[in-house]
Amino acid sequence: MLFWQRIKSDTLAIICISIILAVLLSGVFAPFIAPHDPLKPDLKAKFAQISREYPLGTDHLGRCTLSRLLYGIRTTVLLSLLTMAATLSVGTLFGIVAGFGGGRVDETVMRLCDILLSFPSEVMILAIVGMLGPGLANVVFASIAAKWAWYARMIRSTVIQHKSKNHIYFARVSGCSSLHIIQKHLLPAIACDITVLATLDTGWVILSISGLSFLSLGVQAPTPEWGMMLNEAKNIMTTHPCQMLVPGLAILTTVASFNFLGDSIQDALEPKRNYSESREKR
Amino acid sequence: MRIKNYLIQRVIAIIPILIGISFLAFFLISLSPSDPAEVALRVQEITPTPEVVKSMRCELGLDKPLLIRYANWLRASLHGDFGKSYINNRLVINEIGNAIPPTLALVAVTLAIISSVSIVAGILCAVHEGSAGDIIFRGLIFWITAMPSFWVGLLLMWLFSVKFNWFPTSGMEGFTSVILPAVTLSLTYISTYFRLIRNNMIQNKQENYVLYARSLGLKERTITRHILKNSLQSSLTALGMSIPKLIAGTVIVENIFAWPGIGRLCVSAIFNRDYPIIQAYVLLMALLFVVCSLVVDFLSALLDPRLGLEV
Amino acid sequence: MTLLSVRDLTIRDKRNSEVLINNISFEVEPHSCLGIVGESGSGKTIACKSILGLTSPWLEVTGDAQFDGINLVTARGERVRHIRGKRICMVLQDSMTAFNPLYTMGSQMVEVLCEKRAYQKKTAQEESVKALCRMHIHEPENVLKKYAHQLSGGMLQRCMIALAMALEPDIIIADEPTTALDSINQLEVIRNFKLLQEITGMALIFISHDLAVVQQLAQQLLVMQRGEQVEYGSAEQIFTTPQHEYTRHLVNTRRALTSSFRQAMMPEQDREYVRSKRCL
Repeated sequence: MLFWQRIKSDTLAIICISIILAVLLSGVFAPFIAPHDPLKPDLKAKFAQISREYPLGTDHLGRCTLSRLLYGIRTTVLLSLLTMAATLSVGTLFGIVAGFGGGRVDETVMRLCDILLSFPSEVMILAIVGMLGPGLANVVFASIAAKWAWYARMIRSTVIQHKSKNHIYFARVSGCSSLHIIQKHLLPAIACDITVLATLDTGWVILSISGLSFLSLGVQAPTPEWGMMLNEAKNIMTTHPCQMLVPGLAILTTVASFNFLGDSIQDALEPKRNYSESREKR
Repeated sequence: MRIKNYLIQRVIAIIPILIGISFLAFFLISLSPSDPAEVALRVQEITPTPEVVKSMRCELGLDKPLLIRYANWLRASLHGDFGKSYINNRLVINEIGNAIPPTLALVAVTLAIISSVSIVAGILCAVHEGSAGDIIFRGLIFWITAMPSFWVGLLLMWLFSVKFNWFPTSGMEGFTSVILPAVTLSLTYISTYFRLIRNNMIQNKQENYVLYARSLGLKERTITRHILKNSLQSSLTALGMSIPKLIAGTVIVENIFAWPGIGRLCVSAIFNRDYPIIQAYVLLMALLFVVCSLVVDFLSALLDPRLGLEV
Repeated sequence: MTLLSVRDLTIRDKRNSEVLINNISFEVEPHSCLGIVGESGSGKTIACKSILGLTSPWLEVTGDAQFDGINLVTARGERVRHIRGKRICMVLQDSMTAFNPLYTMGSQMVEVLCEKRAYQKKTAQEESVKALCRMHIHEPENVLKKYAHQLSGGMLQRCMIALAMALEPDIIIADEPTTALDSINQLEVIRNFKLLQEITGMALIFISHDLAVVQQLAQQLLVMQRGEQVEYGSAEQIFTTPQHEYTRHLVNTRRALTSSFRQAMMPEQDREYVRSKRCL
């Protein structure tokens, strides 16, 4: 459990984990924490200043910015995590099947992945959203479809690497079933790689989903979502530029936390760092 | 291995992928829940009665079996005929053809910014590894990467267009209008290439040939030149592949700055359910990706004597 | 007059205060060969690297290494750089990765000669060819046109030695030049070094863990174990009457290896005779 020791001693990682947990919990408990209904417009309170009643002010329709921010966590962050989990599951499944199965199965899956990976992910997502139409569910489905092939490939190569290791041979020789081998031996070994990849990519997924919502291809108004809030702020940039600050900072903080965390996990797993690249000097 | 053989080998290898891509791009349209014939009619503001729908289906060739439709579509595409836009009935190839030059111009300027900043910063940070400048710059780059590109674009627009009025807010008029979109687009990608070059140089610094060169007492400048050449070589593939990635990634920036490129065309096509344009866009992007990776691989092989390619 | 005089050389790792080399002292006379022997990890290579200032930045080197009136340990970087290559040259252990894979052998050798000996490009080219000829390398022009990955380890080793020769330094440090080679090439390399000494009269520091190889070349011997200096003196004396237990152990192990080989290679009747007389 050297890994946990290293993470615990890494202050930056602890800060990131705290921020991420705080964000996630706020999103989950949004109905209890948010001071107002994020969807209810109140034109009299348009562009209110920061006050006790409206801790972050209001937007152009008089809706409380803080409440929208908190409910927006559900759409932006929680949904991104869900997308990530689904992508990982699909990718892992195909990766293990291809890596462990070998032969024809491997060939077919890899060919499929090659073709899918020939499309840049943004293009793939746009294509699927284009065909299915704008909407949050479609965006999520598109993100999963765009990224699973990459994970499948990564996991397949890791599986192949581990497959030829001695402890797998022993397990096979002693007659363990394939499923048992996968569960007990393979999954823990590839869990490290998956964790690093997943954490580093979560930031990308958040940016992607909020980006599509910014273009009005994801959530539809009036659902609160950070990208959508920036879209609305764009229209009043000349008169009320401060509206752009809050959702942007929210995205920045969350994505940065995930990125830092991903780096920390990577460092904790491979401490082969040179003196000059030591962590204190980040 | 002779170059001709290498090229022939590679081209043959990607043919099945190209076929797969074309099929997928063609098949993509069947994902849509709505009947393309109905959509076409609705967009042209014709009431979709059953007879009209049927005749539209015949017109669009939707009544033939899948493989025949695929073959027809493929044949037409190879001749550059991607059909007509559902919206304004103009040829898709023309629409896309008009939208490509602005995107290419944007990408060219962006690439210039990315290359110059990543290479210069990458070299400086690698040579002065661990110094204050290195750490500060890396931290800065890190934060910039975490910023959503649309936010950066908006902030830059507000600061330089609205507040200072140095650049136009949108559209494509004059050279200055490309600056803000190019800077926004480059900020998203600079981090990747900067890190790549810096890490390659640091890795190369620890190679045995550097130790040998040092033990022979060569000037530090000569050694840095050697390290640089090796690092750039290894970064060549990634830098080369940045071109199609940039072209595909212009969507958000073009929308913010109303830049008349293919990104903006694609998004408006999505809103208008203009399937032929979306289809052509997807196919062209995938083709671009595959061809670019072939060219980049080829160039790397040519420049790396270890792969034994003889002219 | 001693060429190089090393006193109390100590290397300490700043990160964990581990002492890698503890108070090594030796001298290198002109036209002589000093052999440094010890097991892998005894610190032979790092001691020589530290004299030339090639160690990692987190290692602290203290002591005295007098060369031509300068203390190499404390001297400025630029001064030491001038001495490297020109006055003291090093032939690395791993020949396969010593050359830059993206440049031809010729361009690299020419570059070094132009910089260190201030030759013109044409002269440098001719000198490289001459140097390769002296190492009995066939078709030197072709070899110079090749890249490192196209040549064998032994050939690359000879190129490094040829380059060292062309630079005409006072001292050549050869770091385990025979370790990565098969026995045929080993003999070649030893012959090359003997040739080197005969032609140029340079001093040689020969690092190896193989006593048999060192014995053929060295007049002085330094035995190291885990960073400590175990024995130092005339090679002949140490081989015949080793003082320290570790040296005795090294000599005996080597002898055991060669004796069984020699026994196996002996004709049948001689073997019986030798066994009966309890020799070997």
